[in-house]
Amino acid sequence: MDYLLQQLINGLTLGAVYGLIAIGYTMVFGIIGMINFAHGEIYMIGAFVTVISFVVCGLTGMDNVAVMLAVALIVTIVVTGLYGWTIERVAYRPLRNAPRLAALISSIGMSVLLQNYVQLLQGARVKTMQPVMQGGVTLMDRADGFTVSVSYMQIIIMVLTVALMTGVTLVIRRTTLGRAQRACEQDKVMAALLGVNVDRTIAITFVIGAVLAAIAGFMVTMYYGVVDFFMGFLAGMKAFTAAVLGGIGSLPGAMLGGLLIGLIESFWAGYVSAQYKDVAVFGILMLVLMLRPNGLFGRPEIEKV
Amino acid sequence: MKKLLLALAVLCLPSAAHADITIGVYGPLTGPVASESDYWKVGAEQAVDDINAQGGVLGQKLKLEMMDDACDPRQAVAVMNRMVAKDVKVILNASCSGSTMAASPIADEAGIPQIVTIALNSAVTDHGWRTVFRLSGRDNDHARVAADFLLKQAKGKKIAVIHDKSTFCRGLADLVKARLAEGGVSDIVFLDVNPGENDFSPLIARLKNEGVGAVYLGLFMREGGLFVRQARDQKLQALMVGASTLSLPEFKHITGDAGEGFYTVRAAEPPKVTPEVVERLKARGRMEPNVLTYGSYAAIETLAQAMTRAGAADSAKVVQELGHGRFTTLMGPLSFNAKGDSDLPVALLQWRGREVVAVP
Repeated sequence: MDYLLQQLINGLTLGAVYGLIAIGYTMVFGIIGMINFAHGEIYMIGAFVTVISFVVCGLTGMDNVAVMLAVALIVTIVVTGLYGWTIERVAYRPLRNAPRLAALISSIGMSVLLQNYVQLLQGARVKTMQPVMQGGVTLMDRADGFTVSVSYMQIIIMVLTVALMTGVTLVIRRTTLGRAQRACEQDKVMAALLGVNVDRTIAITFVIGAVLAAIAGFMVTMYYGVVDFFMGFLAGMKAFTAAVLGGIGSLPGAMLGGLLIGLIESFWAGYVSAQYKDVAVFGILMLVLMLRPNGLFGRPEIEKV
Repeated sequence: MKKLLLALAVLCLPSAAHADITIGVYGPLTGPVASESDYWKVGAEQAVDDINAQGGVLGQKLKLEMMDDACDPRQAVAVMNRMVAKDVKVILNASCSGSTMAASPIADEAGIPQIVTIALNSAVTDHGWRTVFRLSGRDNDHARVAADFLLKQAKGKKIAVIHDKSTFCRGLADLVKARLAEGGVSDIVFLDVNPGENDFSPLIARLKNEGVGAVYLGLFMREGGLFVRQARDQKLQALMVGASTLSLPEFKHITGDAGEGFYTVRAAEPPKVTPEVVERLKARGRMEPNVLTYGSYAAIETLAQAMTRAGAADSAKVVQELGHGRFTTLMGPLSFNAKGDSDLPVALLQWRGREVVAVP
């Protein structure tokens, strides 16, 4: 029981991060019907900007950890958001009316470009960061010494993720921007005729996705303390899987998909084998897609005539 | 930038250096273990400069021809073929076990001596290539030291052995397990992880649940550092010993305080290093030199002495000298046995602050 609880905590933390990245995939797919394969790299850039901000903060002699955290988070959000906006402007907007395959290939190209660009600029070496926050809370003590504990970083990751997901859901359900996004999702031409600035709405969608990935990158850097240029690939694949599992295009689907993947990984590693956990994740994805081709929350695509 | 320009300038010089003796160097300059190259490169370069400042070898200057194999066996084969094509006479091998195993048959066929400074897998010298000489020690010696320490310090505790499936790590983990079994501990939790893994928390919870009281980590510094850091966060109370890779500064940088007191096994620090050489290494690399820096420095010294004694930069003669002579190096005096392994000692070390110190 206590062991189960510990693995649940570990899985939820992992899943929270996947969920945050998955939102970027699902929102972009929802609005322009394209998989943005460069999204994993956006997350990687977020992580790098975090490390660089911390180093710069350290050089300027800042020693208040809370201020450093705040500065690094804001810088990461702004810079990574700019990357998201630029990528949309450069790689996708010119292809808005091209066949979907063109944009897809453009996104794969963007992904390779960003990876190599960061590798050349920052070097191939793993960047490390000293732990900023250590320690945690012990929830339960078992007689034989097994403790169920949750670290402060895990708490922050879970709380922040819940807050962000609520925020994004509210933005999409309640605000003018959200209404514009939903309108573009349904019919871009009609939305434009009714006065919605389609280009701007799509750009903002990319920026929101990038900001969420940036925050995920920030938290992962804080949590693990290790960053490399290749980290976006696997995380991106997992988040993409999460989005597909939940039903791509669906916001709650992406969140649930992320959590599910985190939990599958954690329980598989905990009860079966750490080595086969990626096999388990992708195996379950295949199973779900065979039984529910549109994912858990997806709606079947209806061809509009 | 200045360094880069200088490097470019050197590259652009006409190859008038016919009289120079080229020492081939290969190892991972890129790829997942590229960070190690910062340490061994400095050692090799400084050794060449120091020897050249004293007049070189046989009246000729030494120069390095560095090639990148990214610790990838396929790339290592290509690199070795290029070395042979360039007619390199002696080689410093700072690569991994897997790469070394792949490239050595080619070097052996061409008769080129290699001094291995990092690869630990026993098979490297057990295979019987007569041109392979190793400074770094054998993994079974490393495993023995680690396992004996665990047998003594973790008596009655459950022991876990973790590795990442690479030739190097898997080899070490298997040997540690075998040695523990010899010592009467057979109930071992033997687990492997994916290289490049970030999250070890499910694994750590599992170790806690199974009541593991001691852990051997056959991992590289990234995974090893992450494991130790998360183990501390999750309050895993266990005695931990790790592979030689976990004695490098990155490990402590990732773990922070969590790595304090962590044990690791590797070639012993030089017994009485020349302080001015250490200062020069420090200045050149702008960091504290470590066993990799000293190792490649010592390898170049050994090659230079062997060439001097052979009276020529001739592969066959150098192989003969390496097989018989005793050499004075930064790491202490050393000679190679019939297999090609050196007699440098292996030691148990412990992280204290920013350095690893020998455990008495």
